[in-house]
Amino acid sequence: MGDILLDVHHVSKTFPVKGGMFSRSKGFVHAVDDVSFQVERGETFGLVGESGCGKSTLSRALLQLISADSGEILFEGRDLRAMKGRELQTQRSRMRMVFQKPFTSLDPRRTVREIIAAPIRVHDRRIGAAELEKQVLELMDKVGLSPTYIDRYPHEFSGGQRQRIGIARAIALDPELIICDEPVSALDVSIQAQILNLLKDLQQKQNLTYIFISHNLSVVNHMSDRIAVMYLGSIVEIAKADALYERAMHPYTQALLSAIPDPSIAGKRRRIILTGDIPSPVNPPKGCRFSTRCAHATERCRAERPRLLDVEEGYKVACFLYESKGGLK
Amino acid sequence: MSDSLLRVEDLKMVFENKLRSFAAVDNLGFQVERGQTLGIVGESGSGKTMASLSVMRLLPNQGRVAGGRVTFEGRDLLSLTEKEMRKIRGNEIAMIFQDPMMSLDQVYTVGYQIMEAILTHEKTTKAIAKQRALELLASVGIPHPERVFASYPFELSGGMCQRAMIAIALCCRPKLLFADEPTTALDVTVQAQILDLLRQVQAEYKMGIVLITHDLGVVADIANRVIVMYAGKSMEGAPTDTILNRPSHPYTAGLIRAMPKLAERTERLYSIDGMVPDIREMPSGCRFSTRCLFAEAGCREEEPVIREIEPDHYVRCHRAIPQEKGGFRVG
Amino acid sequence: MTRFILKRLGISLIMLLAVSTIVFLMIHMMPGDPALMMLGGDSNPDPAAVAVLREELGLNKPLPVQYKDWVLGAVGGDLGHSYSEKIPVMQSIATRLPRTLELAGAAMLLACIIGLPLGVWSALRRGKTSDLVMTTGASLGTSIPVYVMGYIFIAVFCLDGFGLGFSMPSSGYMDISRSVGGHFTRLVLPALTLALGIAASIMRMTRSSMLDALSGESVRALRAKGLSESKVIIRHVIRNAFIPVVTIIGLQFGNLIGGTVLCETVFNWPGLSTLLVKAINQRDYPLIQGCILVMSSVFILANLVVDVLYGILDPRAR
Repeated sequence: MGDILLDVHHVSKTFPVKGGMFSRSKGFVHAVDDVSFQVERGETFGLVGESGCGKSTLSRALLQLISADSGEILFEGRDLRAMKGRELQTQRSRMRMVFQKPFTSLDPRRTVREIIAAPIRVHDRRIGAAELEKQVLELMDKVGLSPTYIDRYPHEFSGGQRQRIGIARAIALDPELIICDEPVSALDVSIQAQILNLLKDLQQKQNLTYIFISHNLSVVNHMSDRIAVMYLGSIVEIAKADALYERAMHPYTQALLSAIPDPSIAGKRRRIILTGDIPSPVNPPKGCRFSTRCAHATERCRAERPRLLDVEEGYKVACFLYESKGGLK
Repeated sequence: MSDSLLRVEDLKMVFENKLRSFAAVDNLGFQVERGQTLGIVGESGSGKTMASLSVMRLLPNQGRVAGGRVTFEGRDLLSLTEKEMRKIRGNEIAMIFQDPMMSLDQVYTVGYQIMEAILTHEKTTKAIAKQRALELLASVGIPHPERVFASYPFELSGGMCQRAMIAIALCCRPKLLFADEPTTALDVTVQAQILDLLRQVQAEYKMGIVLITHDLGVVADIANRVIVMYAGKSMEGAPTDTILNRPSHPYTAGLIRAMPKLAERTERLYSIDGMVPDIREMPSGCRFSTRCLFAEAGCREEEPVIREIEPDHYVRCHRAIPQEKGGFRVG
Repeated sequence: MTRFILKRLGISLIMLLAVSTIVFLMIHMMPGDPALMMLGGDSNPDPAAVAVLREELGLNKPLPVQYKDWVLGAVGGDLGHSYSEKIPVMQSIATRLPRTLELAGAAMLLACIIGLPLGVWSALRRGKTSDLVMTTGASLGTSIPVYVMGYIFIAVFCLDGFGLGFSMPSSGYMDISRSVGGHFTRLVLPALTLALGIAASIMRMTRSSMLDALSGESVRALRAKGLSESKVIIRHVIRNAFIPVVTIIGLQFGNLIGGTVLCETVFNWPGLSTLLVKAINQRDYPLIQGCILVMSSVFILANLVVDVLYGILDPRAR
């Protein structure tokens, strides 16, 4: 492992669920359940999973937008959860986020200038208007927005352009880590390609580290160096991107891969159709979370939860099928 | 030819207010046969949804069909009265939409809504309708039909709701089904299940399906033929395999190259420069000319018409020829 | 559901206690002495007599003690004795309360009859001239004050302002047991006056709720099922649109209970609001407390009913 930028240890987050006005508390959503992983400086770490897997909650917990119930989140060795006040604010300039919905993540009442300038102003209250404008224009140029757009409002732009504004806002403070939460899901294919290329270019120019979150494995695979697959709050597999595609050890990963509508492999793979729906993250199954839909589930799977173990160098799986290989150094 | 299930010729659909009128669909033609699936692929602004709504005559207030012919089993749909059209909707031609949560009414149970569909078109008793509803729910792969029957849509997952919608659509054994982005709002594994279901149902009912989507991968999965639309016009039409592996229109080729593919890792994705033109400011000549790598002067002057460049392969482009004969390659 | 209701009732009791405490403090801060009032406002009564009366009424006891006495009495059903009317407060209120309830009820009924259909209609005719006319009318309805509207009605219908050829009684109250016709002719105008302002806001709420429901994808999917337009509108759109409207109606009713005072004054309708005003002027502490308590209770009850109704109408809220 190279220089580790972000080190996540056993992070969990649970939300209580209440029914409507007339019912009692319905239970707890185990949104993130004992998640651990590490992100190297300069890499793109992909996080893939379907609804209810907890990836969005996890991203917010990493940024301290919500507070995790337990665990440690170490950024360059310092525990984020222990930071407060000034230190936290400075930290926030080093970890930023690009959001999923370009249509709702920008304040419709503010111009492009104001949106991009906002984080700069927060961290440097005394910055002058001319200097501010210079920085905003530089950022717009980096993301491919024409300077004539600076005083326009979000509704005047297309989805792809709005996402560029969001990216400009994210890189405004020259961060080290950017969490991209489904940045292209709402965009057309041809625009998606433009934005993904932009993200890659920026990564090189600005020495960025990405955590790239998406439910679309093709996109994650394209962007990431390493990928973690999440299911119902836990990580089930972590590996290098091409290794994951070639080996796909965890039954869920296999099903996910086989389900992707990808014309390059259409008709060339065996389709694994999972039975049933994703169980609700409220009161999840005992034992392995995937046991209710897994073709290989045994009694042990239903009773005990497998841990994430190394099956070979840089490849971890949480599944009893591979336990005999586990613990390899 | 005359026994096509659905034939659309030269369809034109416009949005208009008192001052101006804009064509959202222009010169569109396609056919669907029994038991076959036609995929209509396009990005936003391509007009694919408006095209299907035109056939169903469900256009929003400011829209209307301004020209063309729509023939369903020999009947001219555009000339029917609203009353006659209602007899066909949900009965002979059904439609399912993208977001099942939005398309189902949240204050009525699923069972009620299925029964409502049945009772609208058939004169039976409530008891028989309920029985049919339960059977339909079971046939679309719902494990506990009685429970889902009594549930409200918000109590069910997206996948369940979409199955319920399909059950509603199938209740009168339609001959043709429009599916507008039926899996876009769903998780990938659920998407696979739903597509599987559609295939199964099609075989059973010998239904024709028109699948509208922006996702070429989905189309690869279940469509026999594909039409690619751009800015309101069809750009290319051919069997699925041809479209995916030997596309001749620059737009289609660009679209395919722009998709990240698992089997081929690349550093950069091919991306088509620019954006879809605004409906109010269509470029002159070929609509794709402003973004096309192969555009020449003539492309911006004259709009191309659909040509059959090889058997069963139609392209709207001045310059396109089949790939094997030296046609465009992109990326 | 019972748990929910019990919890709300518990909170309601606490709210009532809070309200009555605040009111108690406020009225005791008002200048003016009840004993002085009772013994003859303008003339100078004998100070000794005033002192004796104050002692009798318990006004010399420390405030917390006075309050405690009142609360204990109220819990037992005894709201004290009105200084000005010389009868138990309960009795005073019991005569007046039904009249205000009737007025408020009639006003709400009329408001719904006028506002709901107009709201639905203007939503369906959105953008057309009729919609514009109705929306403007609604704005007028909410802006014209009750007392202006009331006097206009009196001028037109009672004083034969338009030369309509008939004249309605402009004021007073006639018990229904004496004459049904007489009772209702005196109810119509005040109820209508109150109703117009409320009808206007019901109409606007209904209209915007309908427009919301109509723009959803749900409507397109329903039409795709082959449902007739009237079934789509009535069974689905209206059913959804009316949920927020029902809650507004309930809340407006609650508001009305305390807000009929202008109307009652204009039309001389002897209801609870005018009683309260009189009591304040007379510094009739027990009567003031009693009226406020009753009005708050009705208001809180109306809110509770609305919440329960909401849960019944909208399965998502359960």
